[in-house]
Amino acid sequence: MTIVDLKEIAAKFKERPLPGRKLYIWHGSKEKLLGYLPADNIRELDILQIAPQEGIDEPTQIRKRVKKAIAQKLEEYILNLKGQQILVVSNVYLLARYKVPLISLYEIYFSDKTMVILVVLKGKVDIRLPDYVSFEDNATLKYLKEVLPEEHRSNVIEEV
Amino acid sequence: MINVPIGELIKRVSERPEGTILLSRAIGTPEKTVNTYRFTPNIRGWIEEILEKVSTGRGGGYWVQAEYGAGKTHFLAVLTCLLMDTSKELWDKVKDEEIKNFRHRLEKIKLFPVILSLKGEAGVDEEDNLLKVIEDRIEESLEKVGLENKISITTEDEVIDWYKTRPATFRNPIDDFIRGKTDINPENLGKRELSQLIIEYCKATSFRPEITTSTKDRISHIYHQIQGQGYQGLLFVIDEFEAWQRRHPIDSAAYAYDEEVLETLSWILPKDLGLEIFTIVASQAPAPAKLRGEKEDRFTNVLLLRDEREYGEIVTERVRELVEERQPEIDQYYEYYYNEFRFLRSIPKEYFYSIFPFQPRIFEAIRRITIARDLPTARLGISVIYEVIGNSEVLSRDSLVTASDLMVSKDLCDAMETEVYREAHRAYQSAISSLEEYDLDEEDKELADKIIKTLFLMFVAYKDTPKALSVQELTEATLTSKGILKEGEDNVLRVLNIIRDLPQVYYTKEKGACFKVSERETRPAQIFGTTKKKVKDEYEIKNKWEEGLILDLHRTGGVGEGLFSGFEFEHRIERTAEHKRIEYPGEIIIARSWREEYGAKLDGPHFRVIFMTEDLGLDPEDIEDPRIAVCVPSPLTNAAFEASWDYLAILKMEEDYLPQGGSEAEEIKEWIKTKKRDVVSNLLNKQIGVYREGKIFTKQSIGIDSNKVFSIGKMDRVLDTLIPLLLSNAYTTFFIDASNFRRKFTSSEAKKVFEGLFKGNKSSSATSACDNFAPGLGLVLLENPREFEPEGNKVFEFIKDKLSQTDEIHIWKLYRDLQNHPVGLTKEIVTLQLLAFIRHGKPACEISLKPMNRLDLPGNRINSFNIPDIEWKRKFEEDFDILYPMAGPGWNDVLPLARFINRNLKEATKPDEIKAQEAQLLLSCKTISDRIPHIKGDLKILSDKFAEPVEEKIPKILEGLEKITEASSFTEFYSLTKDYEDIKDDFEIFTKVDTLDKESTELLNMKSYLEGAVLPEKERLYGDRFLLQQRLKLSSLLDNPSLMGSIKAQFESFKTTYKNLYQRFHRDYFKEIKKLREELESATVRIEAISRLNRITELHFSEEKGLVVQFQDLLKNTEPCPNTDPVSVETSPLCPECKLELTRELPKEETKEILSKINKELERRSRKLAQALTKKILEEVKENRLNKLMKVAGIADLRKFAEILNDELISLVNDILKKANIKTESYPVFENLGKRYGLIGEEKIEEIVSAFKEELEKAFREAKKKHIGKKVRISLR
Repeated sequence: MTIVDLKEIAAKFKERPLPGRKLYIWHGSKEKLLGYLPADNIRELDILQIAPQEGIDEPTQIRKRVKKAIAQKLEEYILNLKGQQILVVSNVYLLARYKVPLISLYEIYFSDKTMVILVVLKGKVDIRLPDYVSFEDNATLKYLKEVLPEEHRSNVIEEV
Repeated sequence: MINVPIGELIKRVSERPEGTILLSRAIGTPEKTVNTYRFTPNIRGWIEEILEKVSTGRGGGYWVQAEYGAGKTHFLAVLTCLLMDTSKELWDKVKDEEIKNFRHRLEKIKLFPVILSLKGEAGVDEEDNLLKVIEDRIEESLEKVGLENKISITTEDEVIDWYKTRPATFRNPIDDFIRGKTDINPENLGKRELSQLIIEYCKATSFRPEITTSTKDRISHIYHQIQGQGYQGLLFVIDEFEAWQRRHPIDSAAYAYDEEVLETLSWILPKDLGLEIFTIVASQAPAPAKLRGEKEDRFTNVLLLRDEREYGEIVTERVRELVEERQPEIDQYYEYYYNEFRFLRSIPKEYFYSIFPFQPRIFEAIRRITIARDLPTARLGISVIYEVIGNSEVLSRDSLVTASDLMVSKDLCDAMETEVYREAHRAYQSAISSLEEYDLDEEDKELADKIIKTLFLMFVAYKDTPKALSVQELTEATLTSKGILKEGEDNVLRVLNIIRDLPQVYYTKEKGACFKVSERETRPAQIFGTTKKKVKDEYEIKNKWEEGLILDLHRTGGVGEGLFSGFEFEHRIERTAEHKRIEYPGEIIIARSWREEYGAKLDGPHFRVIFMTEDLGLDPEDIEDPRIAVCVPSPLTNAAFEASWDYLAILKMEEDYLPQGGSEAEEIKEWIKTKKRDVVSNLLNKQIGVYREGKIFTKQSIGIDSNKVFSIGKMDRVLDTLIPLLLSNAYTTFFIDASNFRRKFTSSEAKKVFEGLFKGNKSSSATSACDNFAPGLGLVLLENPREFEPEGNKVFEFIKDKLSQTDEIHIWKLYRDLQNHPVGLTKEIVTLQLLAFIRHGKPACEISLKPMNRLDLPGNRINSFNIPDIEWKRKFEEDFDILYPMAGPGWNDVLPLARFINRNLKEATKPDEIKAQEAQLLLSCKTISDRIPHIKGDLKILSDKFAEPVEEKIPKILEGLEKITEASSFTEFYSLTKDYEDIKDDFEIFTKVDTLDKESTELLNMKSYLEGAVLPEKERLYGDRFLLQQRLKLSSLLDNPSLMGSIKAQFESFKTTYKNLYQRFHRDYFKEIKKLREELESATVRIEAISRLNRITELHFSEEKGLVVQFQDLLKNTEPCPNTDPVSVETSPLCPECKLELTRELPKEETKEILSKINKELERRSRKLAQALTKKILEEVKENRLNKLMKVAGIADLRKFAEILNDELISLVNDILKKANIKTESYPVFENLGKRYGLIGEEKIEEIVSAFKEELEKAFREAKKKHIGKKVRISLR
């Protein structure tokens, strides 16, 4: 997919609900993405913001809590949904980091009036890392492609 | 037609149906979920089965398999809602009464629900397996119902439970181990870390904690704990399993483990342990084989959406409601479409209502499109259909919604822009926009639009397995109804033929129509354009124009015909045309150049029309006959030139592609076929115009309006207009009153009138022709149109006038004068009038016929009398030669002579009367003529039989009469008889001979009968016969045939008496014969015995052949008559079988004599046998049968003797006598003695005795000499 396709879809979506589960992965900066989208349909969901803040050090718990928090947020959004809504999800790396499933989107949020764009920042490490450290800059994308169903895993739009 | 728009009959659901059903959300809104669900028969069946299973507490698994968008999630959600909430409020929302019945049965069943959708699932704690996900979800579910801390779910839970329930002595070392490892008190550790450290301790100390390890135990453990909380069983609802399964390839460990988990849930635990666990999995893929079980008894496969029908019902239910009070109008729709189309014939009426207002094929298209995985959603169908019935144009129509209407959906169009369909969609858009290039009227354009849309959608729907639609299918799919003139299919075919020029539309009659994406490099239309430019040659184009004028249906492929179809250039074609109710023959010529002969005078035809193919500057002076018209066209108009050029081009293109093969060439050939039809049609349409704008030349320049003549482009109509104009100008003298004709007089009518008036033909065609035409022709009176009675006939007057001027008229001149202008009678009318004139006989005329004519009339002439004998044949008038007044005797002159032949003949003057009298005369002659040969033959036979010669004059008279009776007309009769002397006397003699001849058979019979009757002279009948025979003399009968009457009476009397006599004699004779025969038959055994004794060789019996023959003859003579009494002697005087004559006597004496002879001979032989068989021999033999025989012989009982004597005894006697060595020899001792002593006195006794002795001794001597060494006996008999 290209940004042109996405913009076209977003424009149509602004006009009318579009049938189906619409999920796209934006591989680039959120700001740039927002610049392409119609502002009045946007709702942002920052995973980092909704993730539990108190100290939990067990990954299982973190996964469950984040999953729950997302579900709650999505319930809230869907209950208050008026017209079409594009949900721009940022800090998605957290999902990958704790293997948080995306089932909430599929069980709660998706509808003809909703669209989800997962923002995956392009990994950049400015500093030189020690040799024993390997930085996997596409880990989030890799996770998403693994978890997402076939219909969505190829909906990746690269920022150019 | 229906006049109610569908928008008034349906109500679209107010809220746009959600295209994306999410399991949790659907379960969270149970009323809406249940309320919007359509229980099709198939779905109802499955839900009933599952509810039944739950209500009876039998756990098990169901695998709901269906494609994307088939409603799996909705199915799971409804089922879950119904199982989780048995309240009346919710179940009242169920739109199916049968399902509702389950509520009471489920009321008390409480299942613990575990609902999970695996789309987006990531696995749990690095363990990517289904059990973990399930455990996780059970935890969440427990949390929702407040049981989170009461049940241990995971292995960690179990380990910690186990640890916590250990005694302190056991637990303290574990706590020490944990503290040592982590420096943290165990109670402060998280569940997962704590359980891991406990397990680590167990491993280090080689201790095995008491926790469940197998899947079966783990779930069972959970089950029992939950059951302990008041639940009857577990309900696992797993959606989107395929999404999960895709992450675990077949044959991977994870795949196998997932299978094990599902197998445990659905089969092992319910079946082995009887746990009430219900597992319902939804997936696009079928259940793996292991889960189905070898006997298909594990997961029950639930198939949703068996076909488009079910899909259609569900989709329709989701998008609209019917306006109940408008049901009659919906019924009207049904009736209309049922009668007009076929698609409703195979579906129930109820289904029509359930999918109203949609044509069923719409669901085939949208379903197949939406199940394609490349579309953004599988549930697109509902959205699309919802959009379609929101379209005001669609709603305003009074027709069902068709597949082509789907293209109003923006959602569908968006979907078509996805990569997989984009190319096809663009091709479709191109095809639609190309329609503007076609010269289509609004209706056709609309139909073309529908066809393209339908074909495109079917292409998309069957992308992998392309499907073409037949014209009929396309007609049904587009709901093209029949028009005023054409069937719907004709319209579709016509439009299809036009738009198949488009590269996207492919159509052949055999394969049907389909949409094609691959574009041809060059469109046929472009090739045509190029070809057209190449062939621009004015001469060729003019040639094609001319060729087009004579095109026939075959060459135009059925499109139409050229203006002069059926003609050839420069060939005269005979045609007929009507003018003043007369059909005139004429000729038509299509000419590319002018020839002098075209303008020459007509001889025979009544008109000539020449159609020039171009204006060559004709001079009217060249036209010599006012009945000739020359039609000259205007120069070709641009449109005509263009049409001719197109025709040239398409022929060239056709020629170019003829030898080419390959699919593209074949497609172009198909295009050419269609295009050619259009081109030819256009060319034909242009032809009439140039003639309409042209000129029509005639001798007298009568100014015929070509616009009027060529107002209609049909040759027949042109001629029908033109020729009457020509002829009305040429024919100005009227000898007949054609206005009195009741209908058109064609050439065949003349024959019918002729036969009706002159040949007595009373058939309906002949009488009808007389009624219709004879008054107008002046041959009859109006009040009696079937009777020839001419009055005021102008043709007769014309002929009479001609005859008054000359003794004879050549017939051809009459024809010329009467056929040509200004009279203008047809040849057939002239012939009819001419024959009528002759028949009329005023004056009496004849027409001599040409030698070798075909009329076959006596004297080779036509006169008043033989008119009815004429056979009206084609061109027979060509045999007519000269007309002249008639001479010869009249009927009344002939009558005195004729009356000798037939006294009934009368005087006559009219031809019909004369003809009738003549016919009677000729009939009498014919009768006589036919009789004479018979009479001659009969006289010969009579003369022979009666042994009397016939008078010499009689044969001569017969010969004379034979000649005169061969006459074939009364005039010929006259000429033969006028010099005949004594015709009166001769005819009287003939009459007598003829009278007797008619009795000849009877005469011969009487004669034969009398001769054959054998009568004893003593009989009185003998004398009667004599007298009768004296009267029966041929000469006297020829003189006076009337004697026959009394002779016949006398004969009958004789026969009656004779018959009686004969029958009695016959009866009595054979009665006696029978007795005699019985006597003879009784002697048969004896005569056989005589013959048998011949075989005793030692006794030397003579054969007695004469006696046997005599006996057999007599037997034959005494055979009975096969006829039964009384026998018939009606036709013959003797019994036909036995021929018994009245003089025959009975063979009584012969019988007596033969019987006596037989007895004597048998007696003699028996005695001789007895002598041969001495007492001594018989004692030696001791044969009873032989003794019995000899005893019988001894008493001379010949009957018994003969009965006993059989072949066996004969053989025995022969053997005995041979053994006895005795030979018996006959010797004429007494005969010799008799010869020596005829009479003897007493004194010679001694001498006689001595002589006897001598004779005996002599006999013995000779016998011994003959039979040396044998004992000899002398038989004195």
